[in-house]
Amino acid sequence: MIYIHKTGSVNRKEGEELDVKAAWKVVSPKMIRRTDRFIQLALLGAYKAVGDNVLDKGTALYMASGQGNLAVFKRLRDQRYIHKQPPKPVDFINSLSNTAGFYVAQYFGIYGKNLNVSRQGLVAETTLLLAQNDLELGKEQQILVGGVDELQEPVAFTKRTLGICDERLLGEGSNWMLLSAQQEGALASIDVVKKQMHAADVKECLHTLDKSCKVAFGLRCSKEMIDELLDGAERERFVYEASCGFYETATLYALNSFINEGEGELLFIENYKENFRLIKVNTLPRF
Amino acid sequence: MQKNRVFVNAYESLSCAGNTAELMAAIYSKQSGITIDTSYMSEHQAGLGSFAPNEFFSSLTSVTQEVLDKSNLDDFNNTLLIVGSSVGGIGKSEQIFFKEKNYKKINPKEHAISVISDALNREFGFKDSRSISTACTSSANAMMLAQRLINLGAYDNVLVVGADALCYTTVCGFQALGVLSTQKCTPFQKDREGMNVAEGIAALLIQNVQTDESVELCGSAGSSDAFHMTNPDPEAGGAIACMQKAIEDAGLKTTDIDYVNAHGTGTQANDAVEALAVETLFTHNPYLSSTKAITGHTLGAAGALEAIISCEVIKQQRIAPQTSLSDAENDKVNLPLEAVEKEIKYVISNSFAFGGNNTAIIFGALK
Repeated sequence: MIYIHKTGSVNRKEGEELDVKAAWKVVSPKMIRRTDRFIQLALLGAYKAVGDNVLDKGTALYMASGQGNLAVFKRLRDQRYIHKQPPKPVDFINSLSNTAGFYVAQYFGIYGKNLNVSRQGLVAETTLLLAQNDLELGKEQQILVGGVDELQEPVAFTKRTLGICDERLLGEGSNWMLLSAQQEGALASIDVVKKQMHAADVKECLHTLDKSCKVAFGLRCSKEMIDELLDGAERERFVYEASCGFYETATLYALNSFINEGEGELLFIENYKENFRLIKVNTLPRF
Repeated sequence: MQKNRVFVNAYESLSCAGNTAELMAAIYSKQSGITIDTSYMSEHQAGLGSFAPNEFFSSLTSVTQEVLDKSNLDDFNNTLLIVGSSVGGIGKSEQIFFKEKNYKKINPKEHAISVISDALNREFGFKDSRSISTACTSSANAMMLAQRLINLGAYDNVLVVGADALCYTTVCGFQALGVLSTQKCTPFQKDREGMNVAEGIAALLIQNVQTDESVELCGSAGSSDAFHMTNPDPEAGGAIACMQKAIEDAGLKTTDIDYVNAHGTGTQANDAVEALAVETLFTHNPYLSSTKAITGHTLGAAGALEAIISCEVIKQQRIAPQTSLSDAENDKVNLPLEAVEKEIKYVISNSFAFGGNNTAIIFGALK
């Protein structure tokens, strides 16, 4: 069993404003030079989780992103193809997938393994599973896990890229949690179910689930899919969707929201192309 | 917890030095695959490693098929795919742009890191897939994750693929940083000029069963310098930490290591710090060499490609020589100028990346 010790989230829905640089100035007087908005978003979310606490130096950092830092790629393409200039060194460096993770590690002074996981669909779930595996194996003692995705304009183009229908609002977020195998002082336990499931397995799981356990569904689960999975079963839902537009790592926002607002047990279900991943979170008494 | 042992059971690669057999012949005969090129930057010449322009994705499929043919599997349906890449599909987007002169026909899904796993999934139908992107440690980290998943019993079979194609963004980006060499790179040489960007594909089937062809993946570890985005910690703290942790993970002592396959890019910063790390950590002066003098720096593919080289060094019981070296900067490390035949039990392979991202993997001969 592994445990969540700290959580922090920055979350914005399409149509809302989020001045990341200004928000960062509020929380930290230390400006991070040469960073762009994606990196600042990562830093801000991680700070919301860690604050001014000093982390163990051996803490590892696993960062997930569905889309990565796409804005910097547009800048690089414009430099090369429109302005016929070589890439600006700072943009080339910021285009590396692990740059945001570096700045977070540097800011908090952590020297453990620093990993970036990229994937369309279930990227937060598989990153949490990797962290859980490494903690269970004792390969890492503590891992700062984050998910960062930035809303890209134009929205219609991004929706097409993500395979999201026109009605759904997009969002962005930087959601982080500090995990370890130690229970003492933890906010919640977390269990990422190792087996990837099909719909029939999920239905079975929902039917045998304790009645007191709340259920939440990922943003890739359509209303029809949810109805099909519940199959008439009465389940208390944890609703986070109203404050969250679509982005690939929104799962971490849902889990953080439950830990901060809810109490008890949550089963979180997400899918990608009808392959399902389940995560169980159980809040612990807080003193 | 009882951990499953982890074995590298089949592999194949493609780099500017050819397939794995050709690559090893080139390494032992010190024949670099790098060519001097001006096609990416007409105003600058650079040493680059290319194998087949515009055939990257077909090569990716054929290398993967060769691994399947060499394996004990009928298909990859019960195999996890972990891809390590830093470039993904950027080269494809660039080709479309050059043809169309605008962005409209660029499909962002074909631009992402995951385009490599998507392409392989379409062809081979893997059980599941992950993509790791941590710049030049990408496929080394993929190897580490494969080891841990098999240790844990989460999967029986993992195919690690390191793959990066040459593209304008990386060639011109490294040029902008001032680290490209105009000539074939000269790792660990006193007056080295810089690195050679190269393309490469390397695929390794990693399993929980031992075969006659197995090399054991004994240990791995990662660390973060958290020091500077492009420069390593000059005291080599991160490099030493990851090698030390990997040796502990393998249950070995530093004196058990017979050969260090260096990251050795040929840049001033990397080679000085890596030599210092090896000098500091290993008191018994194991052999050290960088095979990037032959292959160039294949970026996200380098960890997997050098994992294959490390396995071959163990199988052939022959240390890879340091090509293009005449005047070593650090005379306290043991850089062999010619191939050395000796008993080799354990090899450590280093991969370091921008962001101070360090990974070390240890391979062992079967006992």
